[in-house]
Amino acid sequence: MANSKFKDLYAPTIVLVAIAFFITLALVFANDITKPTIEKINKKNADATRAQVLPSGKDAGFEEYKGKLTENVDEVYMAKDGSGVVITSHSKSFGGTLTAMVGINKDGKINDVAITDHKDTPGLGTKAFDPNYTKVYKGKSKFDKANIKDQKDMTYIVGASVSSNGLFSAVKAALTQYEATGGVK
Amino acid sequence: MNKLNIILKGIIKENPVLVLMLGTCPTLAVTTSAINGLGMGIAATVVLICSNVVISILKNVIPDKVRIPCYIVVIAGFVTVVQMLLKAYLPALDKSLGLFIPLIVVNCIILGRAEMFANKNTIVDSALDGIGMGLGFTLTLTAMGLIREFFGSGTLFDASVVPASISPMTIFMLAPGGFFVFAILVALVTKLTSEKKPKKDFGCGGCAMAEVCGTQQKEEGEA
Amino acid sequence: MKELLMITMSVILVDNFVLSKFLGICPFLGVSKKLDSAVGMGGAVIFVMVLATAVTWPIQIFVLEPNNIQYLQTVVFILVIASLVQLLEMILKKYIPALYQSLGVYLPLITTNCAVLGVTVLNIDENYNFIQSLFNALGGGIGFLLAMVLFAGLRGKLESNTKIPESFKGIPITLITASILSLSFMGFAGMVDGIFS
Repeated sequence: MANSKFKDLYAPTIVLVAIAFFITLALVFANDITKPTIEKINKKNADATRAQVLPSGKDAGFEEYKGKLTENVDEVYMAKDGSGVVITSHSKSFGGTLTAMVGINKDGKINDVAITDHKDTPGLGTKAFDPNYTKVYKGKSKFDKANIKDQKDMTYIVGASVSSNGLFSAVKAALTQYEATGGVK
Repeated sequence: MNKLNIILKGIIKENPVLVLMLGTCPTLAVTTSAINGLGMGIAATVVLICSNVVISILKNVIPDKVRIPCYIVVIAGFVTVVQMLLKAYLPALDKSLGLFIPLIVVNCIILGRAEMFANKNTIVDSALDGIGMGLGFTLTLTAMGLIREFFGSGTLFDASVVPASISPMTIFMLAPGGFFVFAILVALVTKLTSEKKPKKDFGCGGCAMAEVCGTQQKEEGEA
Repeated sequence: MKELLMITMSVILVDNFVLSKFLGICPFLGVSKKLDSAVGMGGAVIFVMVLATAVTWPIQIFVLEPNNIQYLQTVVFILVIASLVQLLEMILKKYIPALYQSLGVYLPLITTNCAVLGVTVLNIDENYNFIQSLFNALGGGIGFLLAMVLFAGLRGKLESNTKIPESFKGIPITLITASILSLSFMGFAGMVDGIFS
């Protein structure tokens, strides 16, 4: 009797726990190997995007700004030569969180924007992330409206207005941060 | 059983997606471009081969009662490893596949093959079965990706093939287009194999849960 | 409150799990043949989704994140869902046999329903707080139920139609129907923002 109870009840539990334990060990091991690479590649990609939205800071490099961050802003990186600042901000777009990097020159005007992460519909919402469209942000320094449709000096993509507005909100958050920081430090 | 047969049957006769109707979620969701379909297919294939092999090794150790949780844990482990590798070496692909990488865990193909094949066959056969099924899955996903990318954005593997003056049919990239292309492909396969096969229908036959499910008759595994 | 309503409405109509995010397609196509089984499956999914979210969200925030072991997310979540489903089945069988009669057969299927694992992972990805996550799960489940019920009705009509070409009988015509249904759901895009702003 005792034997069959062991077989019915304990053996399955022990095997399951043992398997879970070994899998966890394997994952810890795999994580240790891949983690440095993941961090390195993330940093490399972020640096490349920063250089892309603010080419003037490319040679001198960027340095993280440790001051207070305003709402919806993730990171602020100052160009070491003082030529501008790159602000990473996010917003709620059509399919979920949209993350963008905004390069702002030292005169407070946007140089370029890049979308680093989004969950919007490929082929539809992503029309609003095409460089041919996002160049409308170049030279802008202030938005006073909450929605891109009300902002007179901006155009948006018809049929992708939610995504257009998602990007707009993220850029607006970045500009607010720029103002709060007091320009380039 | 003929070794070559095990591989080949996964590609045509028992194509997991178009014939067995398994793994439809990723098939529809990630095939907005050929490269995504290919990436998803390869990621799932790697998990499928590894889990098939491990489950085949452990088939005598795992008690019948807890076999499903055991399979799930093994599969989830491999999925996480694949996810880490993608993050480390192919971050762009990781981003575009997004949520569907962790969801490989519940991909019926993998659990289904564990239940129907790997736990009753030898290690080598299980590995071959994984390769065959994975190949079938990858080919189908890539084909769907090619079709949807061509019509939906006028490109093939990100290279522009349609003149810019022709506006692409974006609807193919969206959800309805996914269902539509899938329907056409299944109809095509049904047409090509119709004289050999009785009419198929959706079922949980290939699903690992079929036995306990009770809503459908369990389809018998390989003879 | 407004935000919670927005989350729920948009996940039911705009980001419908089945018709726009392609989550839970297998049960959607497999179990939507009859109206009563569609309702049963949908009900069970709502139940498990909310419950799974209520368990996995605290695990992620209070166990995985403080210890820097987020990479165990997939393994832990799927184990939680699997054991939750098992537990629920046992409890229902013992204490609420009436409910078990109607939902019981669908419960084991739910473990492999990617919508359930999907919603728990999405909640973390979207940085929802606990209450938002619960409403997201609820809305996701209701959206699933809605899609199932609508589709069951459509399929009833399809079965009796004799004009379908030979190659399209069965699966393909069902997929075409799903395509048209998802097309009509696209009409809801932007609606939620319009109502609440």
